[in-house]
Amino acid sequence: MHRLIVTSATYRQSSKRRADLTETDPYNKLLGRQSRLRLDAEIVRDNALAASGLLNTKMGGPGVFPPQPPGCMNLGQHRRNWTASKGEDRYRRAVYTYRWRATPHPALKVFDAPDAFASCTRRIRSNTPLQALTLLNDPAFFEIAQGLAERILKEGDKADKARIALGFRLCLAREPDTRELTVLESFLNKQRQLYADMDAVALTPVVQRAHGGQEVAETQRNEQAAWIMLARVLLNLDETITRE
Amino acid sequence: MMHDLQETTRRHFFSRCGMGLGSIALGSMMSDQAQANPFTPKQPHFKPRAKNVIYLFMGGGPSQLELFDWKPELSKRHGQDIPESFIKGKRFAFMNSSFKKANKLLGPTRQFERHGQSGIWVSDLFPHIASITDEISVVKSCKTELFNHAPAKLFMNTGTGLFGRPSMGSWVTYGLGSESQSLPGFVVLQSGSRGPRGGAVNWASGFLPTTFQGVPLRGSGDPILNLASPKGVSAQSQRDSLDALKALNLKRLMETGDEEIRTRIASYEMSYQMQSSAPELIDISGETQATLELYGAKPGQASFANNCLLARRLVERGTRFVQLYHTNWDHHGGPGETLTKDLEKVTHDVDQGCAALIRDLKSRGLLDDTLVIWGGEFGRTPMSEARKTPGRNHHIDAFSMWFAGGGVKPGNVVGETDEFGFDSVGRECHVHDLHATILHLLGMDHEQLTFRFQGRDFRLTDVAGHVIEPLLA
Repeated sequence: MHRLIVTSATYRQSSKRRADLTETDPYNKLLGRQSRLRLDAEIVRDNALAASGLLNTKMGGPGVFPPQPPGCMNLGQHRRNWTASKGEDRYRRAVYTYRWRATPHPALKVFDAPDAFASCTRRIRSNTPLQALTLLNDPAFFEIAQGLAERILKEGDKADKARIALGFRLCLAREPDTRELTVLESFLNKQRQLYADMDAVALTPVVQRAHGGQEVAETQRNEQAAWIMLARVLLNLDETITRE
Repeated sequence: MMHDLQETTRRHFFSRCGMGLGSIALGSMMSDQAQANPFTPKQPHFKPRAKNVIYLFMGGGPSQLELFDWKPELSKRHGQDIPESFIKGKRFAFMNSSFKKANKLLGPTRQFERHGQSGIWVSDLFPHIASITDEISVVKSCKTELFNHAPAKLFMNTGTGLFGRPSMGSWVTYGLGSESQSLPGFVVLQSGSRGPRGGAVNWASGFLPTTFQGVPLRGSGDPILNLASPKGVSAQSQRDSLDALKALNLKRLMETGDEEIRTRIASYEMSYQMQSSAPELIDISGETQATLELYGAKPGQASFANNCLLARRLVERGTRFVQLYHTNWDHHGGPGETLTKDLEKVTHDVDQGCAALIRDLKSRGLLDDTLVIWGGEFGRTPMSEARKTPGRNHHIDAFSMWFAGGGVKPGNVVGETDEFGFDSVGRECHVHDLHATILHLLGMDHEQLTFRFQGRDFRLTDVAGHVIEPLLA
């Protein structure tokens, strides 16, 4: 049934707004186009993990502990520990995240994951500054940006444009157009300048994954930092966290 | 289905928030700014008496009989059995353990005096609060329905003991938006020995968008979760990233026409502003020595007093709803829960900060616009519990809360209790009535502030609630 739906001509329409449809069918009741939807909380994470190549697709088993900022477990009656999983469990799909009722995982909660107290018949999709802070600054998401940069540098051709296009494809499943390439290329060059003079030691937290990454050579760190910033922008795009 | 879901979700930001409010000024919601930001201030149903709320939540259930509800008769009958008529058919927490053996009346353990022009009774545990009685309204006849902590806290915050409903702060920010565009509209602060039972559900947005959930302001590390840029990422780099995101998102907005992208752009810009406004907010070192002393606040040292000062700074900056939690008020008489030194400690923790907050708000002209609420999830029994020392059990039939500020009648007492302080007499003030009154003071009709979920319109007061007229100025 799912296959029938997702392979149908109706489902595969473009989600672009059309002036004629906006007038005759403002709520798209007649399915004259596709609708853009922000991804569900778990998929926001899974999608970023998949793009970066870090995703572990193992199924089943006990809950795991993806990283979360310290202090989040102190908001309830009991202060608990959250020791982030290492190895393959660190990058499992978000559905396997261990749940504490009083202190839900903040990166899931912020993207409207249900409390799991009662059946959820409809997920709300909010759009908030706290989501922006999560995708930009949360250590777990920054780690994914580091992973994506590693992948781009490893798998892409040498040319900047080709590497940018690879990152773009991994996040958005389409080629960038000229304007998009220009914006990203000039951003990359600006970041190269910004990080060019930074000390290799100071750059360690920027380029070195908290867990599992290979040691980045000191001579490579300035360049790597610029690519991590680029990867972070790609992972933060509205289109990346949206089903178009 | 899919499109319905999306459109429904979109509509709640762009018009349905308005529809639910009936008389809302739809015109103002049509501006670009309003479309991009669900926190844009919205017009209430009628002229409000208060614009902001500071809710001082005393987690654990403060003993009204040691604080505000002076019962000389209870003192006289100390040690006697409570008449059967009072407790027949009643249920209590711990009824099958310590409480079962303990129906003896326990006289008030503190000295009471009348204070101020109003002559409001306050015990010796609250010397500072005793000095502001002419500013507050004490409600002695509060009633709730649930006698265990977590469900009762949920009830006080959401109007039901079941999980999944929005908290008061979420309803208020959903209804009114927030005046601050660089700080969250609903902020939660914590102090005391531990967090409140139930945790995040107490400030959850339930079925409302998480936009309206309470944002805990953290005592250590980043004041707001993930506020700081990752280590080593410079301010310039952060700004550049936002600019690149803005350029690419804007391009996509032009192509798709999806207004949700405009909201996304605004969210990212607000997050950037929060990176500077939140650290500025929590830095109280710039307050005068006189102000710090008034509160008993010490920069860099997390405390209830500091949180009171932060509450003032938040409403000053336009945050709509601030909720402070302080624990632990659960004085059963066991270790760490005595009516003697443990109650003295917790009252001492909060007394000065509460009074300072009222004085400070008043001297700055903020008290007229700010509703201050003080209270716990329930009260405590007139009967003693047989634990290591005399203590009191949870009690839902009568307990005291106090209110001050915007639209509240100052120097006023609402409701009474019977000779033992067991049951409310006069105007009974059920939690639903408190909710109706709080919304009323904010200019909202509790029957009109609704959100459609699972096929029906939900309210904070669900199908109950009457405004408590004697509480109003």
